[in-house]
Amino acid sequence: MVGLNHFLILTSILFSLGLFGVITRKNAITVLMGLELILNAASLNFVAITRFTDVAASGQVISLFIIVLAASEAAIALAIVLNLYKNFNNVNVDEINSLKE
Amino acid sequence: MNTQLTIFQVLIVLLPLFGFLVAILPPKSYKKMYIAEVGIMFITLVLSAVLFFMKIFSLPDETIRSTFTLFTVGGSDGFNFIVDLTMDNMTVALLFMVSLISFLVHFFSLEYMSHEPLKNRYFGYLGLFTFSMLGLLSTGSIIFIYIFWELVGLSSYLLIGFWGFKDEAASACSKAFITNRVGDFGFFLGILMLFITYNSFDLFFIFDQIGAGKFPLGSEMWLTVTGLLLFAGAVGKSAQFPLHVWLPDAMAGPTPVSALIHAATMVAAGVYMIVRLFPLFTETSFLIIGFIGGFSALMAATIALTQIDIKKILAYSTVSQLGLMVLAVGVGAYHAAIIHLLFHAFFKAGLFLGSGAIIHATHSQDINDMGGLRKKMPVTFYTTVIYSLALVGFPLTIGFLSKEMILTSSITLGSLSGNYIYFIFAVLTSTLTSFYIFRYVFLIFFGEPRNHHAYEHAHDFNIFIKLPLIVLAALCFFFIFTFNPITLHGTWLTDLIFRLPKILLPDNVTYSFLTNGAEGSIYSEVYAHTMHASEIVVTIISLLIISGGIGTAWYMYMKKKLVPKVPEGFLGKAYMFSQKAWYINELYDVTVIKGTMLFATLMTIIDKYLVDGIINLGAKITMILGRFSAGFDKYVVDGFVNLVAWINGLISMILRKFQTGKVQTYLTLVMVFIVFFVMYIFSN
Amino acid sequence: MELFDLFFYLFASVIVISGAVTVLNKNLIYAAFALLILLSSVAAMFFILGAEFLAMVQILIYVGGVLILIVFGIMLTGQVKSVPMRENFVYLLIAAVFTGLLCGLLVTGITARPDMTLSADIASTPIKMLGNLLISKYYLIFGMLGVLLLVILIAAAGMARNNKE
Repeated sequence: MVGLNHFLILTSILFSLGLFGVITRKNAITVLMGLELILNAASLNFVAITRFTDVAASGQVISLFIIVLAASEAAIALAIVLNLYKNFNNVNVDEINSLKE
Repeated sequence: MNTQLTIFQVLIVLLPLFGFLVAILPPKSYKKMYIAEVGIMFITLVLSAVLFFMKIFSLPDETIRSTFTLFTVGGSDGFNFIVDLTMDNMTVALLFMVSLISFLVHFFSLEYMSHEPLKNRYFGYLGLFTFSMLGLLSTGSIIFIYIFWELVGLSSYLLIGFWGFKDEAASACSKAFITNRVGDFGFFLGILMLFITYNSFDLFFIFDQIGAGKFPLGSEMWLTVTGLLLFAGAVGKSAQFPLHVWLPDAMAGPTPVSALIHAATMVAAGVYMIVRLFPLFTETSFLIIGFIGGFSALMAATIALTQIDIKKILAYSTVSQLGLMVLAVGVGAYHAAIIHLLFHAFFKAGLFLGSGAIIHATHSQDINDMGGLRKKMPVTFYTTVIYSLALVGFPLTIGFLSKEMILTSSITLGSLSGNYIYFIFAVLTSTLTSFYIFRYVFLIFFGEPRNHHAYEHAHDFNIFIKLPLIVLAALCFFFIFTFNPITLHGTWLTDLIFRLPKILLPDNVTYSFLTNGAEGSIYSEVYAHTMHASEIVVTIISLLIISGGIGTAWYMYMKKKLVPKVPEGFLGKAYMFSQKAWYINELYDVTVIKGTMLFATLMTIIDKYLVDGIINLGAKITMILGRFSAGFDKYVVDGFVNLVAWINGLISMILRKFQTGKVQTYLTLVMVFIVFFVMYIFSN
Repeated sequence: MELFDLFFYLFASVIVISGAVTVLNKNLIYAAFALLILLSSVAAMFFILGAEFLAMVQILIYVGGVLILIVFGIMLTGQVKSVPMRENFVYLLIAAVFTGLLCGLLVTGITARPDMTLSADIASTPIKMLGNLLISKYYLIFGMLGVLLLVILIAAAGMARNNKE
């Protein structure tokens, strides 16, 4: 019998995978994909909780917002990546360390 | 109606302040700003004219007061500091006079100061002055009179020192300020005396208390002292002997300023003040006031006889005329003082503006550079002659009316009390006045040009110069104010200003000196009768002295064509005595200034050897202590501080490794710590 | 085993596997393709949870918009094949261990609380209800998101523009 906990465990795994991608991949675009994984985990969480508890459809609305935000984030992030590429001629985040001192 | 008048009054007082703010803020266009300044003064003038006629014709007998409490000191039953706006006939008349002269001077300055680089500052100061002067006239609270009193002093200081790059102007403004401080110190002490006695600054309340017999420290002698302390302020501001020395030097300021401040308005503030405080004075006070006034008048007139700087002639003439006003107060004829103040403002401002035009044309103030200017500057010439006739009190001019009032009052006092000294002072002063002012006219406008270069360039100027001269000259004719050319009694203006006493004086205050103890009040039958009887005598005497003075001047400067120079023998000594202004400046140099210097030298010696010695000893002890302290600091304290710094450096070297500049590393660190944190929470 | 459970396990396994491929694969095109599968599976999850509208939105926006953007990004930056992980082995180890720890902690926390099950049949949420919520309770956020999108539009255009003009 699949319950809420199954969904939550699934989203935890999905979140951890996304986090791992974000902190280990060199390529900025892969980092972005990891972010999408994290966002999807959150989104799925909201929908599942809406389904299993009686909070009307609020979770779904917030999911909707997350999707919208993810789309905007992707647009901005890709614009940044393109600028990075223009300035540094690569998109490896560990070579872009002008933040250091 | 009262509210309406009060609103008008507030507007009149605050508009020049607004002009001051407009002038000191950086404007977009300077030209527009000057026009705005003159416009503001014009609005003030119109408002004050409206106020004057509304007050005079609709509420002639009322004193309109509006007050509100600004703050209270010392609890609910403590002292209330009250802002006070008071208006009676005298106030509105003087408000009108001040705004008229101020407007004309603003207008005049448009041309006169047209080449000045700092014109906006000049107009700003003029606005500040006008605001302070109007405020001074508009209040019935002595502390507010004092506040505005100091403000006019300040603006006078700023305007005298307007050309502060000249040594002469810089020292003149300091001199004016310091000399005024002497008088103001007395004034302030007087205010404090009043305050500790009556616990109020409200003059009308204080008058009532005096009427009810309450005196400072319980005796009339102290009221006399208080009155004389307050009079000291007037002596400073109105340039009476012995504090008159600043006024001639103040002529270093721009000439329109001299016309506005040092002839027509500010110097009259002292006279206004003693008229406003009239019920405060006792018989002894009046004796001294009258004597100082008369003496200043006579002394200044003798000095004016021989001056060669045209502005100095007018300056001493101003001191002399102010002395006559003070004398009028001293003989109890404060209405005569106020009327003379009002009329004197017109013709003396005119004389100064005329001299400004002459200086502007010839670029000189020396009377030896003038001569024959009558053909070159006809407008200036004719108006100056009219002002001079008004100044000497020629019939058909306003000067005749006011001077006759003063002479009549002083001879009335003489015949009632047997004390003719004031009358003698006034007659001698008038004689000398008619001589020196026509010496001024003849030497400038008649005869041969003594400086041809200046003569060639002289000419009348544009409307900005001419209009104020013509307006003021028109005001010098009697029919502006009365239809009776002989006397001011019973005319509409003076009748209204004669109502002052009823407003000013509490009914039960008596001035027995005025009537030699016979009757109590200056409204008495005896007084009025004696006054009426002496009018014709005074008219004859004044006609004689005027013709005598003018005739002598004509004989000396027209017939014999004398030029100003030091004569031989004893006469030369007298001449120098007059020209050096009785050596009073030199006397002050020797006594006050040398004395101060000597005292300062003494203090320097004490300071150098006694005070410095102690200090140096202290310094040596401190140095020895300092050495010990330095050793301790170097090895103990610094060692500890260095240790701390070294440890911090070590820790920083370790922590620095985490600062990679890579966002992912930071994120990983955050994650690691979150994991630890969550584990910590779970373990609990 | 009910149909719901069956679908859950099916899509859950697809999600985990494609997620792992997305994160670990060295070829970016493969990673993008795995992301496509993952997003579609999440959409399917939404579907079995009764959120049909969200499922459609997920496919439309994610699969149709975001993924295309990502593919564009990959192509424009020109790095497709053999995009490596970070070299530092210690770093990788720490990352893996702690990510695993975090996951384990989350799972521990989740299993510690009682499960909630749904006995009734799957009832889908009516779209009307979503719409009502959007223009009533969440009206402010909805409006602000509109503004945000406008800002994003301008910002993205401005940033991606060639600055050398």
